[in-house]
Amino acid sequence: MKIVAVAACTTGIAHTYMAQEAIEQECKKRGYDYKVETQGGMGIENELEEDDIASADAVILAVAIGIEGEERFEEKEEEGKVITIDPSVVIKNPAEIIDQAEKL
Amino acid sequence: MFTKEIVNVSDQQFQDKREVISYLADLADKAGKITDKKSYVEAVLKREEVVSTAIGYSVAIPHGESDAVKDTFVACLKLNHPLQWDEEQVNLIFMIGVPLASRNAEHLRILAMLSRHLIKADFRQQLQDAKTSEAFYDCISVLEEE
Repeated sequence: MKIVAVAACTTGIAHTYMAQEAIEQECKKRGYDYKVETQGGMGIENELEEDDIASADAVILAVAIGIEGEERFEEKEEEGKVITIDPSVVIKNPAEIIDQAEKL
Repeated sequence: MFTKEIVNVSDQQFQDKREVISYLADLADKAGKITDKKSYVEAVLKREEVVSTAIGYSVAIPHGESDAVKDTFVACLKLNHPLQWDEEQVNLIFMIGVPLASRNAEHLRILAMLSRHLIKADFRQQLQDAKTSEAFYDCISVLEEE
């Protein structure tokens, strides 16, 4: 199982990085491959490359705002492999969101 | 960024989040971190209106970007009596102030690190185990050295 994600919140100060950590921890616990891009106060970090996205089984967009490079996920969107949720939801309950991603 | 005077363990019984935010803004004001308490508090409350900053795990992270902030700061409070913060019971509060005009990359990096740490159960346990303001400060201030 490979999960890629983007985390971004309104101010880019806190929720972005909490969501990143929450997703990474949960994936690590399950022994999944993962990569989480952040778009926050420090700009884009850990940017997802085309290969990363193409090889992913599921995409989680934990975003409260419009993000840069949303078009990268169009193909996955068409395949029904994208979950879009508010960062605060994944922070509170990462296990549930990863369960959902697993079932896509 | 983490200053002893604004890192506290408190026995005080707060009624609601406004009271806590105002209390922490007072501390930040006294520590010389903000120039205009009223406008900073307004920025924080405005952010709360968008969506509650109670993130679960007994933690809330109210924050505001404002011209009234002189220096990036995190006011840290552990309550011995938990408080109802919107949908959540909260006893760890980290109130963040970031100057609107001059975002400092190093400060943002430390804030990101604090955020990531708060998701870790063992870090939260350390914070919950800290009984005194000194012990609480010691747990948090290590982040600045990492």
